[in-house]
Amino acid sequence: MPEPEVLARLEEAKKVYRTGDTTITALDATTMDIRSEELVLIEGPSGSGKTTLISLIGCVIYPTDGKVFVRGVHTSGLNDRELSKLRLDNIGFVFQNFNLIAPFSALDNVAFPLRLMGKSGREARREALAQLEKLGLAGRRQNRPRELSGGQKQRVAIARALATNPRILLCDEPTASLDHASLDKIMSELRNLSREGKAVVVVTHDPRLEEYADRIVRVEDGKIVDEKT
Amino acid sequence: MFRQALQFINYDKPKAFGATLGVLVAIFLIGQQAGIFIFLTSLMTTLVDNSKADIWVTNDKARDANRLGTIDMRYAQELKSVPGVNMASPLVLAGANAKLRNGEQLPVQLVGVEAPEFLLEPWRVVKGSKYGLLDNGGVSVDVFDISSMDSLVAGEPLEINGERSYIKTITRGARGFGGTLMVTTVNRARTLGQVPSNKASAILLTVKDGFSADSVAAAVNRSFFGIRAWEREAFSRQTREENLSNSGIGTSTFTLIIFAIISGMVIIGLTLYSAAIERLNDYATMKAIGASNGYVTRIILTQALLIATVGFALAALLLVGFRKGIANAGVIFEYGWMLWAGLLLATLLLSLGGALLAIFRIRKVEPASVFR
Repeated sequence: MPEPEVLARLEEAKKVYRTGDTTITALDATTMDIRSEELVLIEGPSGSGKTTLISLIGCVIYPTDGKVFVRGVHTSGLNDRELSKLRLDNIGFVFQNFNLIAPFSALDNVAFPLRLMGKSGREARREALAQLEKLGLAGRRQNRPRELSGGQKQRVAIARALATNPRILLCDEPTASLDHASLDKIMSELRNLSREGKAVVVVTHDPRLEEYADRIVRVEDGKIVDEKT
Repeated sequence: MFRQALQFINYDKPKAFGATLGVLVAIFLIGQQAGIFIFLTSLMTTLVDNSKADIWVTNDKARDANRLGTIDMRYAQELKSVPGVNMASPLVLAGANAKLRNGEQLPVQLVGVEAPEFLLEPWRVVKGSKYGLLDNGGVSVDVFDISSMDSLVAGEPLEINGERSYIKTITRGARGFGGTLMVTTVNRARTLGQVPSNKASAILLTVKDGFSADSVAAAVNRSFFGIRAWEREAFSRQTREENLSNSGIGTSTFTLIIFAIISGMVIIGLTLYSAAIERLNDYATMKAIGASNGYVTRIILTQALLIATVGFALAALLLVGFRKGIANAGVIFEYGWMLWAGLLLATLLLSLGGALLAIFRIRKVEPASVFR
C-alpha cells in the first residue's frame, strides 16, 4: 500500500490584508499538509481564517509571507496564467453558493473547465455529459442554473469540480441548507472520492460533518488551534 | 470561446440590444455624414472630374474650378503651339437667370463648351444627346434642378436672361456646386451670359500620345505669364481643398463623425460595463476554476465583436437604404470600398474601445471573491 502523497503544503503561510491604515492578519504563520486519500474538515467560527486557508490551498490568493506548494510547485513565483493553469489541472472547487455560471447550461458549466484544458467543444460536452449522467442529471443538461433546484445545482457544481479529475477537491460549506439525507449522500460521495486518491478539504460550521472526516482542523483568530484525526 | 460569448449575450438580451443599437446608430450617423460629405465634395469638383481635358489652363489666380475668373482667348491659339498639346478648347462659365414654362425662375450657371470637341459634355444624360446643344438655343438641364416641372421633354422652351432657349439634353444627377448647371455651346454661353468674345473662363487641353500631362503643364507654366496650367487631378484636388477650407463643410462633418464615435463608444462602453458588473460573480468563478485574465478578456472581446458584427450589418443595410432614398431627391453618391472599410474600422474602434472599461473591471476581479 503506497503512502499517501502530500498534494498541498503550507509552510509558515501568512496572509495579511491592508486597508488604509488598518492591517488585518487573516491567517497567521500556518503550516499544514493536505494529503491524498483523506477528507480534511476545516472548522471554526466566522472570521476565524477558514476562507483564507482554503483560498491559499486553492491558489486563488498569494500568501503575504511563507510558502504554499501545490503538487510540489511553489505558487508565489507563478504569474496569473501559470497559477490559473495550476488550479485548472489540480484543484476542483465546490462553492457554498454553487457559483454556477448563470448564462451557461448545466452541461456547459461542467464542460467549461474541460474547454479551458484545451479539449474541443464536442469532446468537452461529451465528457461533461458523462459526469452529469453519473450524478443523475443528464435530463437537466440544457437547463440554466436558475431552472435547477438547490440539490441539482449542488450536483452540477460537484460534476464541474470533478470534470477535470483534480487531485484536490476544495468544498466550501457544501452541505449548507441540506437535509440530513442529502447531507449524508454528499458527504459519503466526498469520502468515496478521497478513498480513490483525492484530497478532499471541506470548510464548514456544521458539526454533523465530523463523522465523515479523516482529520479535523480547527481554526480560530487566524491560527490552527486544534487538529485531530 | 465564441459559444461562451454568445451565451453571455443571449443571457442578457436587453443589454445586448442596447449595445447593438449603440453601434447601429453611431455607424449609421457616421455613414450618413460621410455620404453627404462625399456628395458635396463630388459637386465641388464635378466640372473638372467630368471633363475629358488632361489639363485645365486658368487665370493664374484661380484656385477653384467653380470660380475661374477670365483669361484672354488668344491663349487658346498660343497654347496649341506648345509641344504635346493636341486640342485647346475654350470653356466659358457665366451666371444667368432662367425662367421655366411654369413661371419658376432659377439662377443658373451656364457652361459653354466648344463643339465638336466637347471636352466637357453633359454627363448622366437620360434624354437627348450632347449634339442637341448645337441646335438653336439648345441647353442641357438636370431633372433634379427643375423638380417643379411635372414632366420634362426634350425641346421644352425656357428663357435665359430673357432669351428664348430650348432644353435639348436632359440629365439626371449632373448637378453643380454653385447652383443649376446648364451646358451649352461657348458662343451661346457668351451671348446669354454677356461674356466678351475675347474672354474665356479656361482653356481645356488634351495631350498628344507620347506626352505626359505633367510635362505639358510644366511647359505651359514655364512659357506663359498670367495663366496657370493644372493637371486635371491636381485641379480637382485644389478645388476640393479650396472649398473645404473656406466652407467649413470638412470641419463640420469631421466634428459630427467624432461625436458619433464618442457617443457610440460611451453607450457601448457603459452597456458592456454594466453587463460585466452584473456578471462579476460569473467571471470570478471562471477565474477561480482556472480561466486566466487573458481568457476572460477574450470572452468579453468576442462579445464586443459579435455585437459589432450585428450592429455593422444592420447599419450597412440602413445606409444602403438611405443612399437609395436620398438618390431619388438628387443627392447621388456611392459608398466606395474605402468608406465601408472605414466604417468597419470605426465599428471595431467603437466596440473594442467600449469593451475596455468592462475588461479593466473584470481583470481586477479576484478569484478569491467566490469564497466571500
